[in-house]
Amino acid sequence: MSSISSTEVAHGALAAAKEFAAELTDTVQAVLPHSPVFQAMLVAPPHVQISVFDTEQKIDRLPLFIRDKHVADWKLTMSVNFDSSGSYLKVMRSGFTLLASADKVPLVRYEFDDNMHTAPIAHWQFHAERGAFSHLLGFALAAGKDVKPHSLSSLHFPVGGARMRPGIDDLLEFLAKECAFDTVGGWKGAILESRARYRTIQARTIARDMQSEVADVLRGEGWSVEPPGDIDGPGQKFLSRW
Amino acid sequence: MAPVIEVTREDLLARRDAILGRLGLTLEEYLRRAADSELSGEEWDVRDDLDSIAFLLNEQHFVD
Repeated sequence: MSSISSTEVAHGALAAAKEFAAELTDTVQAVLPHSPVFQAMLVAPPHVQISVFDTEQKIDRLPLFIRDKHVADWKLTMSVNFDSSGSYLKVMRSGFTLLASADKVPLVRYEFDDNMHTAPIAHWQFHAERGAFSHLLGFALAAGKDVKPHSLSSLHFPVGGARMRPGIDDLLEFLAKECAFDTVGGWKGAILESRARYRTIQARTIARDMQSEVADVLRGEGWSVEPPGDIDGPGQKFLSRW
Repeated sequence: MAPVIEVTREDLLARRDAILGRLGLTLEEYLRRAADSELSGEEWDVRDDLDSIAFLLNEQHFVD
């Protein structure tokens, strides 16, 4: 096997990061009007941050409109790194934040952190108030539990773990359908393309995690499938983490 | 192709110092306020930037 130089890794990672950011730009611009270009910020690969940045390189808000009136914003952040070849990127963290244009505190947040060990790897947090919920958490606090009754946003609502978490397509469709923000003509097609691409990648990753189970299913469907030799057991990370 | 912004570790450290300086907080104080769900609007406004800088610096302390 030929060795890969750090320069080659950097070049491969740079190209992959550019392609990822361009793909994200295409999808978002095909759904939401007046959406800017996503950029890749990097120190030296493998760590790359993909977001929209303003002229001072601060992560920028993306505008959301209702009948052409700017009423809200959202932010999207993707933190990626690369395998040892430098060509295959992996999303390590991602964040989606919805904000009213007149406020700096989020309305809702969706976040994914592959290294999360306490809260769910993928989760929603709601910056809202509900007296009855705070009252309920007050009982837990009084019992010595680690909860924050004053902050509903401290609760992490789990959504499918690393493999079954929502993709950008789901977040965009949430903005388009549930929140009724203005969209670009033909946006549904862009959502479907993005979703098919993302879920195909996730399905392939799950198949690698669960090879014996996938082989059993394929045999049941009439395929001939034989193991190549020793295979890894089911992916414990996939099966166990929330 | 999308544009690429190349920065140095020194750039990132300086940017973080500037952000925290405007808030009048140390990084530890900021992270503590976040952990206690006590961030103000101004503090929320820089949360993604601070997390992004931490990731690019290969640090492990992020805002929950």
